[in-house]
Amino acid sequence: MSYLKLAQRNLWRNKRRTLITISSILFAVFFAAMMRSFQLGSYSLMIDNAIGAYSGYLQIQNPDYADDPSLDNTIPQLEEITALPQKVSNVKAVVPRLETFALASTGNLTKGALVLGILPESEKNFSHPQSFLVKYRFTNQAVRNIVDNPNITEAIKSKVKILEGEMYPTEKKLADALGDEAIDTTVLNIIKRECHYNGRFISASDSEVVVSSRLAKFLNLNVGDSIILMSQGYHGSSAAGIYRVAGLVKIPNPELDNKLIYMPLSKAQDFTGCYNLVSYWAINLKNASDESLQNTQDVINNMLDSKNVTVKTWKELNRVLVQQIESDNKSGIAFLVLLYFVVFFGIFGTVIMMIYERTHEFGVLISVGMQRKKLATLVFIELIFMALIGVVIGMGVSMPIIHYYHVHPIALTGNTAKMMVDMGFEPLMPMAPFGPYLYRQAIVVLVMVVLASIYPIRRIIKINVTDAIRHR
Amino acid sequence: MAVIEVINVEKTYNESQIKVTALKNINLTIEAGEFTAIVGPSGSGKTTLLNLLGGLDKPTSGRIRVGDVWVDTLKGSKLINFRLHHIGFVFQSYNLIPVLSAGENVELIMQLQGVPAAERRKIAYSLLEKVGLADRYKSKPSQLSGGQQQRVAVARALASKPNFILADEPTANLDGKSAENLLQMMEQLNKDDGVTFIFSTHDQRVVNRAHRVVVLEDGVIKES
Amino acid sequence: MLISLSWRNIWRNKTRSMIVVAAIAVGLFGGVMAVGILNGWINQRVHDSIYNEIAHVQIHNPEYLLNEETNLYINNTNEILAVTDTMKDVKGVSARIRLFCMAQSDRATTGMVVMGINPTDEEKVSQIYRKIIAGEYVDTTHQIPSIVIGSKAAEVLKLINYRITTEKIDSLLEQKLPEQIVDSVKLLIDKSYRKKSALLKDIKSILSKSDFQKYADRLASVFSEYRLNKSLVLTIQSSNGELHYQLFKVRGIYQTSNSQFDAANAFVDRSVLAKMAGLKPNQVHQVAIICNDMDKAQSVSNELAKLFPTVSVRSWKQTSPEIALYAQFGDFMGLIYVVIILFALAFGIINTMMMSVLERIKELGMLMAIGMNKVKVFIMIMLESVMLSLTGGVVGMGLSAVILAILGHTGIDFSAWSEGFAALGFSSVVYPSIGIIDYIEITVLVVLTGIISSLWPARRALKLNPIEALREE
Repeated sequence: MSYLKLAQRNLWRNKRRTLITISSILFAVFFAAMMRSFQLGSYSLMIDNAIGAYSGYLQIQNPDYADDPSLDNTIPQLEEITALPQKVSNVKAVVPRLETFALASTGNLTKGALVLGILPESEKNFSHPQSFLVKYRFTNQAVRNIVDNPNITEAIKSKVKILEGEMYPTEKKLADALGDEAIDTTVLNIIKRECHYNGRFISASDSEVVVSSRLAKFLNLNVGDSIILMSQGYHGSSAAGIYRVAGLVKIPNPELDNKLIYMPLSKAQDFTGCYNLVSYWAINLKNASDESLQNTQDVINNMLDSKNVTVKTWKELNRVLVQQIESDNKSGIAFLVLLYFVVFFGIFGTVIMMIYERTHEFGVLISVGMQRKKLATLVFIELIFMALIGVVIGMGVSMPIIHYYHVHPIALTGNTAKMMVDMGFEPLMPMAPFGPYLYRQAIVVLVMVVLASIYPIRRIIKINVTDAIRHR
Repeated sequence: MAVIEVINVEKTYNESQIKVTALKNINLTIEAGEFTAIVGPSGSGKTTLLNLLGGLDKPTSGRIRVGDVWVDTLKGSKLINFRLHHIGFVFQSYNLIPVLSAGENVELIMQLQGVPAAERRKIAYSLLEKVGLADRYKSKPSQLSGGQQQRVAVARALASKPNFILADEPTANLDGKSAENLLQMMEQLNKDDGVTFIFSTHDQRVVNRAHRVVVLEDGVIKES
Repeated sequence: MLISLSWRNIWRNKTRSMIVVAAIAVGLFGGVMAVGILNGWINQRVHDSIYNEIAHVQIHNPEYLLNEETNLYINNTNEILAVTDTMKDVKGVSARIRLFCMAQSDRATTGMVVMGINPTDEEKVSQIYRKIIAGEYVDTTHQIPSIVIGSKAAEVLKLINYRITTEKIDSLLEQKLPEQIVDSVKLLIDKSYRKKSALLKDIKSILSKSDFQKYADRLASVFSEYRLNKSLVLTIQSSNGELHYQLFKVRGIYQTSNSQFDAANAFVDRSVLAKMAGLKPNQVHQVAIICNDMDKAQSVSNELAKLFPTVSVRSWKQTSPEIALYAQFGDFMGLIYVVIILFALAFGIINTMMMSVLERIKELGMLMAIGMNKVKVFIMIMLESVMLSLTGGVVGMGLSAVILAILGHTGIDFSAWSEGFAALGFSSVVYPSIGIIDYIEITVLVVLTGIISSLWPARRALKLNPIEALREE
C-alpha cells in the first residue's frame, strides 16, 4: 500500500487529533495572511496616495533641489527631458511641474497653500486630478432649498443641515454621506439637482485655478470667486496675482487636499517669474517593485547624463514615509514571528503526543518487520499531509476574503477615521492583492512542521522495540 | 429488611438491530450480612446483574429496591448521589486515583459526601488500620502491591458507610497469596462488622468462602 | 479538594504539561510586551500632546473655530481670567494671540502659526520652554523682538549650518552610536556646511548604503548648528484686514517629539504681536489652561462652560478627540494581540486536555461510579485546564513584568526610524509601561481561555458511561 494511502488512513483513525492540528495550522495561516494583507494593502494605499497620485515614483530634479526645494533650483523645461524617459518601457507617464509655497487670501482669510503648475492634458494620465472634480456641494443656497422642499423627510433634512459646506466628486460619495439607509431615488435626484455644482478643470490656456476642497472650505471659496496669491518668486522677486476659481477638487490624500492649488504651467511660470523653468518632472511607472524602480532610475540617469539633472526615487525623496512603512512592517513581522512561535510549540507538542500515543503500535510494526526508516517516513508524510491540508484550507479561506476587501476596502468611520485623517492618511483599510506574501506564510508553516518533526522522528528511529510493545 | 430486592428483572440490548437478552426472569433477595457470590461463565450476564445491583444500569423491565428506595426510578445526579451514600464498589482494577495517597483515596469519598476534614482523616486512618495498612497512609498506589491496593479499595468502599459492598472480580489480578489475604480480610469484616458483600466472580476461592452462591447461566438464575 | 486533585492531575505527564506551559509563557510574554510598548508610546504621545501642544482646556470665540480670522478674538477675556485665577484645580492659564503668518528668512520662506504669549504665564501651561535646544526662550527685553521656532521650522527656513566638531562627535558616542560609524565620521572632522545636501553627500561617501539610511538623519541633527540671531520677517493679516510686516530675531529653537508641531508653531511676545495685529491687550484668540490632574480637565471645562456660555470651552478630549482615541485604541489593540495569541494557544491546550481525559477513561468511569456527579467531574477538568493556563500565564506575565520594569527605566531605542516617528508625533525612545488593570485584564483572558479550552474535553468526559469505561478488555 502506498505511503499516501497509509498516511491518510492513519490520520483518519484519530480524527480529533488530526482535526485539532489542522485547525491550529489553518488558523495561523489564515490570520497571518489576513494581517499581512491588511498591512501591505495599507502601505500600498499610503504609497499610492502620496506617490502615485502626486509625487511620482521617480523625479527628475536639479541636483540641489532635494535639499533646497526652492525656485532657485529649478531646471529648464527642455523638450528632451520629457521625451527621452517616455522611451523607457517601464515608464507610464512623465509630467513637468512647477511647485511653490504661497499665501492664499480671500481678503478676510489667509492660509498657506501649495501652488502646482501643471500641464492639464498630461496630468490627466498621471495624477488625474480631473476625476476628483467636485460635482455636488451643499452650498448655503442648496441647503436652504432642500430644507424648504416639502417632499423630503425631516431625517434627511437634519442630515443635510449638518453637511453644509461639504462637497463630493461623485454621486455615490454624495449618497454615502447622506447615510446608510437607502434613499428614495426621487429624493436623491432632488438633492442632486440642488447640489449640482458648476465647476470645471483648468486647461492649458486658462488663466484660472482649481482649488482643493479643504482649502476652499477654510477660505470660504466657491467657483467664480477670486483668490489672491502671494509668494516669493525667482531669485527673491515678489510674486503676486489674483485668479478666478474655475473648479474645486476633492483629493483623497487629506494632507494634499488641505493645500493644493492647480494652475496651468505657463501661468505658474508667469506668477513666479520662472519663465521656461520647472521644479521637477514626475514619472510614474508600470512596475514599481524595488528592482524595477532601481533599474529604471539607472536607465534614465544614464539617458540624461549630460543635462545636469539627477533622477531620484520616491524612497530617497520621502524618507519619512519609508520609515513609517518600515517600522510598521517590522512590528507586524515581529508579531507574526511570535504567533508562529506559539504555533510551532503547538505542532511540536502534538507531534510528541502523537508519537507517545502510538509507541505500542510502532513497536509492533517494527517487530513484525517494518523498517524503521520506512516508519519514520510514513509518520513524516502524515505530518506534512496535515500541514498541507491546513495550509491549503487556510489560504483557500483567506483568498476570497482578501479579494473582496481588496476591491471594496473597509471604510473607517467616526473617530478612528478622524484620527487617520489627522495623521494624513485616507481612512480606508484595503487588502493587498494576491502576492508572494501569501505563499510565504505557507512556506513558513511547512518549514515549521518539518522542524517540529525532526526530534520526534529521530526518536522513532531509535525506538527500543521490546519496551515499545510493553508500553501500555 | 432485605438489603436488595430484585423483582422480575429483565435486561435486553439492541445490538445492531438484533435483540440480545442478557438477563431474564431475575428474582433475587439479598439480606443484610450476607457474603454472596454470583458465578457463571462469560456471557452469563453476571456483570450485567452486578451493574444493575450497583445502580450503574437500569433494567429493561422489572424493579430493583435497595433499602427502601426503588433505584430503577432514580435518574441522573440523584442516582449518582444514591450510589455515593449507599453503595460501595471494589473493582477488578483502577480503583484508586494514582495522584492521591492511600489515605487521600479513602478520604476522597468522604469529601464527596461533604464530611469535614478532621473527621475524614480520623475515619480514613481507622479504616486503613482495619485493613492492616495504617502505616501506608501516605503511600501512593504505585508504591503498593496489587493486594494492598485492593485493600485500600475496600477501606474506601467502607468509608462511604454503604448498605453493601459490590466487588466485581476483585481477586482476578492478584496472585494466590494476596487473593487469599484479601478474602480473609473481607470475611473478617463480614463476620465482625456485618458488612454485606456481593461478589461477581470466576474465582473458585471466592466461591468456597461464600455463604451463598447464585449461579447464572444464559441470563437466568439456575440455583440460589 | 478538587483544586488539589486537579493540580496534581496536570503534572501526571510532566513533559506534555511543560511544553504547554512553556508555550503559554512565551506567548503571553510576547503579548504583554506588546501591550507595554503600545502603552508606553501612547502615554508619551498623550502626555506630550497635552503638555506641549493642546493643554487640558482651551477656550475660544466659537466663530474663531470656524474661521481663524484675526478679529474673531474672545470678548470677555478678563472675566474668564478672573474666574480661572480662583479655581483650585487650575494650575496655570495662558492667554494667547494666535495668527497665521508667512515667515521669511534670508534663505527661505514658509507659512506658520505664530502665538503671542506672556512667557511667565505660558511656562505654567506649556513645556516648550524646557525643550529649547539652542538659544533662549521668549524674552521681552530685546529691542528687536524675539521669536522662538521649532527645529523643523529652522530646517525649512535654512537657519541651520552643519559643523562637525570634536564635541559633537563625542556626543555621538554618548548616544551609543556604533563605534565604527563614529570612526568613519571622524574623517570629516572640522568640516562645515551651509547646505544639508552637501553634508549628506559627504556622509553618504563614508558610510555604507544601509548605514546611511539608518543614521543619516541622526547625524545631521547632531551636527546641526542653529544660526541664532538671524532675522525673520513675519507677515500677518491684522484685525482690519491689512497686511503687516515685522522683523524678528530668531533667538531660540525648541524641539518636541512631534516634528509637525515643530514645523508649524512659533512663539513671540504677546504685546508685540498685539501691536502688529492691531489688537488690544485683552483681545486674545485662545485661553489655554493646565489643571492639576488630567482627570480634572473635564470638570473644569464643564464649570467654565456653564459660567461663560458665549464662548467655546473644550477639554483636551474635545480639542483632539484623536488623542483621546489613541489612549483607548492602544489599550484595545494590545488586548487584541493578547486575544489572538491566546486563541492560538487554545489549540494546544485543548489537545493536551483531550489527551489527558482520554488517558483517564477508566479512572473517570470509576469516579462516576462511586459517586462523583457530573458537575464535579466537569469542574475538575475545567480547573485542570484553567490551572494549566494560569501557570503558563503567571510565568509569562512574571517574566515580562521584570523585563518591562527594566525597560521602563532604560527605554527602547527605535531611533533608526526616528524621522518617521517624529512626523507622527512619537518619540523614538519608548518607555514601556503596564498597569495593574492590564495585568488583571490579561489574567481574566487567560482564565477564560482555560475555561473555553476545557469545554470540549470535559464534554467528552461527561459522555462517558461508567459501565463501558470499566469494562475490562
